[in-house]
Amino acid sequence: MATELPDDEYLLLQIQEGNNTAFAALVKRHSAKYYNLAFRYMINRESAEDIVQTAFLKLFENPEIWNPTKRVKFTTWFYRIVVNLCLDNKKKYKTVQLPDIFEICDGRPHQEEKALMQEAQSLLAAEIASLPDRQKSALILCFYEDMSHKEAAERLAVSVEALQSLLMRAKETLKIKMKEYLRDTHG
Amino acid sequence: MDKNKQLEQLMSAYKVPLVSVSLADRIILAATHVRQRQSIWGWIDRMFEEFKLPLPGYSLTSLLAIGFLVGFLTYDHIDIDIANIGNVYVASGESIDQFLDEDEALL
Repeated sequence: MATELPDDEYLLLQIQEGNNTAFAALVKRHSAKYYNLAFRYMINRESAEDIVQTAFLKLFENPEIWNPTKRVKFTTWFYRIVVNLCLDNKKKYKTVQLPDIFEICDGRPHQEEKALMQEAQSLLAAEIASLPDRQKSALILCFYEDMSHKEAAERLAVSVEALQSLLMRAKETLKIKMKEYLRDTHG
Repeated sequence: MDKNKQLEQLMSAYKVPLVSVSLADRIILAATHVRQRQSIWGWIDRMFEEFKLPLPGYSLTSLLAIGFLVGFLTYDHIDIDIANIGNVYVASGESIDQFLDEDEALL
């Protein structure tokens, strides 16, 4: 018989009462997920891991910063903390690093094409990271976090129309920046 | 294939490198060196969580608190001269004679 796991909000209340096991459970449950999110902003594994560690330690140091009476889900609230830390760190280190580790998943046999694909992905990652903050967040939430437009709009505190406009602008910018790698095959 | 599709394909192919297996453990270990801060309001909240009163109880407690407050605030305005309190109420010899004379007159 499967035992029901305590939800995040219950674990947070336990952390506020000084329960370290609850903190460990929360970290094990969410660290990988928030690492993925941080990596999209930082495009660097060490920085992304540091961001996640800093966010969790902030929560551990002062668990009262999560207010249960506001009835905000932990994942929504913690998402903002991680994103804010990423944006603050980006301001500190303004130069965008090119990512060094990528997994090529198309399985093409030709080495030249593979190298070109790798180059395009590295450049794309850097271009996404250098988009304006709101455009970048909209793109990450909708494309990589698989959120619906409505959910993402709520998370960014904008209307659905504004979110769609942010997405459109982000894609237009990326198409221009990546034009050397995108070939129009129509006509 | 148009540029939109190509871009989306390129974006899908962009994978995040796997997280270090030790990240969660590292965070938990780092937390053991962090001193937790407890706000005074959080502590008070938790303490009073145990003492739930019915609604009339809160009214009576508030009334009592207001009573104390008013009492303490008006305390200075009551001018009691403790040093002379005995003298005020001690009857003089003249007033006793006068009182007895009044009684005798009636008789």
